[in-house]
Amino acid sequence: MGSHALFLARDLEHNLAVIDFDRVETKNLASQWFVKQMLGKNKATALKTQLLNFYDVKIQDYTVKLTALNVDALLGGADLVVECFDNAESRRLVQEFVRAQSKPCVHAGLAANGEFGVVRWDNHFVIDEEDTAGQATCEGRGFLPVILRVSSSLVTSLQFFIDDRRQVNWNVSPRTAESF
Amino acid sequence: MNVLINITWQGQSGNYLVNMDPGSDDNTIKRVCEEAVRAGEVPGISPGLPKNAFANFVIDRFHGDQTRLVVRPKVPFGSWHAAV
Repeated sequence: MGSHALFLARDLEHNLAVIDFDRVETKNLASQWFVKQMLGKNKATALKTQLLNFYDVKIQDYTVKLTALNVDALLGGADLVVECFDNAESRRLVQEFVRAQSKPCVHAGLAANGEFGVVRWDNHFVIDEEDTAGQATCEGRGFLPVILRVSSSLVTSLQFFIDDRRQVNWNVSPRTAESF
Repeated sequence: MNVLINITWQGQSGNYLVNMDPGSDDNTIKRVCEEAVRAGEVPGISPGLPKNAFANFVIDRFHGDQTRLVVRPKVPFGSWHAAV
């Protein structure tokens, strides 16, 4: 979801940075915005390369795992944090940091089977635990429309916030997207 | 007090306006929703609902001019993290 959000956020008049320690795998090509030439590369670097090569957009890539030891160094300078992690532990790390720093933060999440997604500003965000560790996610085929719908809603919320500090939340299902 | 409840079930989504205590506990809200869907009172969601359909669901609460509740499946997944 984050890769598509970055793709859609590329024309925002702000400096963009992305944090990811993971590498692009074949299974990611079905549901994430990576091209096959990026297989094996770090995801943050792959996104930086794609945005530069396709659109001449420059972003900062951080190719490390976000931890309690580096969260201040990585997020401390951000005006706005966008969180799309796939595990509760990392989400908690971000939430605790942005709350301690009173830093604006918006989260996005998706159900395992793609039936529902949310965009929530932090004061309304509830962290959901995975049912089981390593639970399968929307990595197969057929989920792109709903993933893109959540990503698009997320970036729309970024635009609203940048325009006038509005904090718009979304409920997204395969059939509807409702903001409030 | 009128409470607007947004319910999502298997990709279907609908709103249900009901007079109830917005501070009701999660189980009470889930029961109300289950009965409303079964009774066909939630446009957009077909009434065929198994018992305890919302047992593993989460309830988000938004308190503004009108209380809004969101009854939804868990959404533990994103993909990765970005900072603007």
